[in-house]
Amino acid sequence: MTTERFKDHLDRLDTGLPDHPDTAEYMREGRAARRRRHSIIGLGAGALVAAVITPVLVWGGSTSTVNPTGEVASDPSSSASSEPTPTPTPTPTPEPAPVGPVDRSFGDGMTAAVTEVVPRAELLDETVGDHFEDAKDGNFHFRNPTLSSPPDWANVFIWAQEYAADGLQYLYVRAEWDTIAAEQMSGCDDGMYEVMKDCSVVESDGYTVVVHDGARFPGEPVGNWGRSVTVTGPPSADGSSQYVKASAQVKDMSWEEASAALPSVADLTALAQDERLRLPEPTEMPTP
Amino acid sequence: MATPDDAAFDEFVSSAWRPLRQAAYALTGNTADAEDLLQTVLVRTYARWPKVGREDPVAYVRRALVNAYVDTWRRRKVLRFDAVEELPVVESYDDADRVEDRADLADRLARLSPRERTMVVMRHYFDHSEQEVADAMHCSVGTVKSTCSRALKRLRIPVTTAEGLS
Repeated sequence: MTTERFKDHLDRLDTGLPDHPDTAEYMREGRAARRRRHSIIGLGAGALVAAVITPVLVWGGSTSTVNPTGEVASDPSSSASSEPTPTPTPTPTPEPAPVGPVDRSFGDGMTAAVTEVVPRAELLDETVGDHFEDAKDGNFHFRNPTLSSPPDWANVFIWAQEYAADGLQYLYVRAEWDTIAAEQMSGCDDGMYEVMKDCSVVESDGYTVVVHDGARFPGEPVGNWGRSVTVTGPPSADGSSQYVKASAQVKDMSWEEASAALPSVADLTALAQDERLRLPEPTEMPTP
Repeated sequence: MATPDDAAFDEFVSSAWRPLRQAAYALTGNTADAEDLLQTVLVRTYARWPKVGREDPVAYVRRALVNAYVDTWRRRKVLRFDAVEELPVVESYDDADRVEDRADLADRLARLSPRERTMVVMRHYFDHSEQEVADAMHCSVGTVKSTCSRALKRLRIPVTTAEGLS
């Protein structure tokens, strides 16, 4: 009785929305989403071919294991696992880096991109910086990215978001311009991790895609496993490079469990290549 | 050019539109946000239609609607704490109240917390079981019962004991 009465009341609400849906609009936008996903998967597939033929640097001497479609995504609606395996296609040329100042909507776009890959991701924290500020914790000094008030949008050089999501210890995305990214972010980082199951590096039209898989930082518990994808762009005129990192970590798992629970390499790669995570180059890079 | 997939999607959305539209409005409390929510969910549904259309599109789209809404309010909760105005709990009802209640329902829904709106729509509009709502909202069945009961009272919808709400 309660349910029927609630339905009756709710069905009579004047919502102000049309009586008939504009399905053409949904299909148009949906097709665009499909194209974006296929082009990203296509890039992954092209990267797989490139990695096998011309591995730039391969962790532990093995060949690349970037697998754009074969991984089991943690969410049933995850994109890569719901589509048929695409035929490898030529790698598309990335668009030029976006120009012009960002605004608050960049964070919304970043969040939208993340929640398309991990629909239940919950935003926990956000870091936006247009300059550095000194900070001290005990005997340690830091220079933290900080946003001015009012923000100097033309000089925003970092935008990062951290999420909670079911089954994950964290999910982290970071878009940044850095003067040392091209040098330090475009290869397997054998000094950063204590354990790493695999790493691959693929170059494509000036962009470098690095996958660190099954990685654990020194001192972390044995059951912690991370998976990250970093995409670094070519140096700009002043030597800075744009990079985007998408990473996730689980805890208290075997590697087999973790590998299935983490967002797939294909999903993280798609996220790191999503145009909504491409931060425009700041007018002036801050001094670190 | 329309494909068989497009025709099936069009047919599905047309048939499911009314309850989706009402639910989206009940969840968001306003036309603009309801429109955005529907856009997000139906675009996502079309993008995955080759798979979704073969399975259970009604279940998928309802789950997607709730998930997208929960994602939104959880994110906003982190960034901004909105005060939710308390409404008086009404313990008894009569037929004379119903017409007025119906007219006021939108306002009363809008002043529930997002969590209360989500639970009551899932339980009493989408007919999910209490266990399904509890699983989706990561809480106990008891919490679902008490939250829905409280929300329905604030909406001036009588709560019947036959449904186990004491």
